Amino acid sequence: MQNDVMSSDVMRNEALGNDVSDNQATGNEGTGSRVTGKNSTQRAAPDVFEPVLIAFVCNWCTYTAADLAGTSRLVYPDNVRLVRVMCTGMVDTQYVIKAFLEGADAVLVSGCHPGDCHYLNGNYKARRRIKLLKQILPRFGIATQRLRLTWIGASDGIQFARTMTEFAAEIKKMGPCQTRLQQVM
Amino acid sequence: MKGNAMISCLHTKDRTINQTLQAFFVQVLEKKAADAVLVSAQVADGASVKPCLISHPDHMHHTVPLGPAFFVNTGRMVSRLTWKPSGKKTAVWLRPCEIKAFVELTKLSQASRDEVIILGMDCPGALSREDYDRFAQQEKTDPVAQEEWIRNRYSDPGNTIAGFTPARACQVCDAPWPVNADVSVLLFGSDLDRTINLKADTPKGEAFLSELQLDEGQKPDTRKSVMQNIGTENANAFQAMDAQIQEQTGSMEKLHRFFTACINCYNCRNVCPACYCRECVFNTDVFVHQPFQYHQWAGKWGQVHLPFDTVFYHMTRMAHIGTTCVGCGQCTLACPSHIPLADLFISVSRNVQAAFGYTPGKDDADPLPLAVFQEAEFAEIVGMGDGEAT
Repeated sequence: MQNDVMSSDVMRNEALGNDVSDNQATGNEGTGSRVTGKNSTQRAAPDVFEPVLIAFVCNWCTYTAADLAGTSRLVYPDNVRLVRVMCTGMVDTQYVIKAFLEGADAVLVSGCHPGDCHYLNGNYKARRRIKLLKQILPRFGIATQRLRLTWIGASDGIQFARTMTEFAAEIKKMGPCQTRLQQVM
Repeated sequence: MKGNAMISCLHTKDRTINQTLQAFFVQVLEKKAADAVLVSAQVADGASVKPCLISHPDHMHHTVPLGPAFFVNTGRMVSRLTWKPSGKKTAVWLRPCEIKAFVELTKLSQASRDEVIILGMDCPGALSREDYDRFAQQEKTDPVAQEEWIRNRYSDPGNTIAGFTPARACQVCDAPWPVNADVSVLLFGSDLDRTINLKADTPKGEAFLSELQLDEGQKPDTRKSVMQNIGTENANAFQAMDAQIQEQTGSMEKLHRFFTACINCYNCRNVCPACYCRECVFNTDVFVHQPFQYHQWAGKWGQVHLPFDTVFYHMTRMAHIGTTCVGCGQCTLACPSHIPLADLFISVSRNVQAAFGYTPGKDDADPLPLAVFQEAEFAEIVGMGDGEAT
C-alpha cells in the first residue's frame, strides 16, 4: 500500500537514498515503513505512518545538493523519493497532480536559487506553477503544506538534508493524504 | 476611444431583431465593409445553429445572430480563420465569452486580430442543449413568442423567461457585455421597437461603421443601470454557485464522486476554447499505462475503475486552463454524462485568476500569467514556513 508511488511510468525514476544498500535491501516492499537513518535495519511497527514524499529536484542545484549530502554522509529520511529533472521549469502541473493522485503524501519541487537557474529563469516559471497549484489543490482538501517549493543550491548539502528531515517530520505529523487511502483517479 | 465614441444605429421598425441584424450583415457585404461575415446560422435548415462564414447576401436569412443556441464557442472558430493571413477581411459576430476566448488565443499566437472586425453583442445568454431542443421545437410553432423571449432578455433579464432558464455559466457570467470588441452592439436597456445601437470601440471599428454610413445613434439611457443589475444578480449567483460547488467537491473523495460519471470522452476538452495545446498530453502515450500497472493499482486500493485517470484528467485541465478559462460553459453543454463541469471550472478558475490579478480577454496587452514571471513575487510560497497564503 505504501510502496507503489514509484511504480507509474511517470514516477519511475531513481530514488536517491543516502545509503544505496538499504534501498536494494528493501526493494519494492516496505520502503514506507522503514525506520530512517543510515544504520536502520529494524522495521517500525506496520501501523506506524511513514509518509511518501515525492521531490522533483533540478539536476543542477538540488540534485547536486542531494549528491553532496550523500557523499558527506549526511542522514535524511528515506521517505523522500527524488525525481531528477533538468530544471524545475519543466515540472508541469500534471506531474505534481499525478503524484498526489497516486498516493504521495506530499510533493516538493526544489531548484536553484533565483538568479542561479542554469536555464536563466526556469525556477521563476516553476514558482508561478506552484502558485497556481496552491490555488487549486487546497480546494479539494490537499492542504497547502503538502506542496512545497524550495531553493536549495548545489553546495547546500546540509540544507538539503535539513529540509528533507523537516518536511518528512511535518507530513508525518499531518498524517496521510486522502488519495493514499483510497483510489481517486 | 472613450467619451465621444462614434455611435450608429439600425432601425428595427416592423422587423424582428434578428431580421434587423441580418439586413445589417447584408449591408456589410454589399458595401464591402468586409469580405465575409462570421455569424451563427441554422445549418442545413435544421435546428442546429453553428457559426457560418457567409460571403453572399443570399445566405443571410439562415442566420440567427441572437438566440439561445450555443453549440460552439465561436472564438475558437475565429482562430481557424486567422491563424495565418487569408487576405480577406471578416466581420465576426461574437458573444462576450467568445471575444475573450479569441483574445486569449491571439496571445498564444493561434489567432490574429489583423483581418477581423469584432462585433460584440450584449449577450442574451444561452440554453443547455436539452432546453434548446425544447426551445427550437417551440420556435417552429410560435416564432413570435421566441422573439419576445429574446427581447425580454434585454429589457428585463430575469433568470427565467417563458420557462427557459439560461445555462448556469450564463447565470454567473461576470460580464455579459462586450469587452475588447471593435464594435459593441448595445442591446441592454435599448428600445428594441425602434433601434439597435452600435458603438465603435476602436479606430478599426470606427472606420468600419463610417464605411456603412448608418444613421447616428445614441447610448441607451438605461443600459448602465440594466448592466449594474445584471452584474449584481450574476455576482450573487456566482457566490451561491461557488459555495455550493466547494461544498460538493471539498475533498478528494467528493471530487472523485463528482466525476464518477465521466467516461473520458474528452468532449469538454474538445469544445474548450481555452484548451490551447496543439496535441493534448492525454492523446499521447504518456499516460497509456502498462497492463500490469492496473493490477498493481487494484492491489493497492483493492479496486480500480476504468477508464482510469478521470479525476487526473480534469485536475490537469484545471491547472492548464485555470488562468484563461473564459467561463463560456461549453464544457457543461458538451458533457454527455451531464456533469456540471462549468460550475467547478468557473469556480476554480476565478480563484486562480484573482491570485494572478488576471482577467482573460480584457486587454490584449495583459500577458498570460504562466508565460511571464517577475523576479520578486510570491515569496510567501517559497520555503518550508507556514506564512503562505492558502
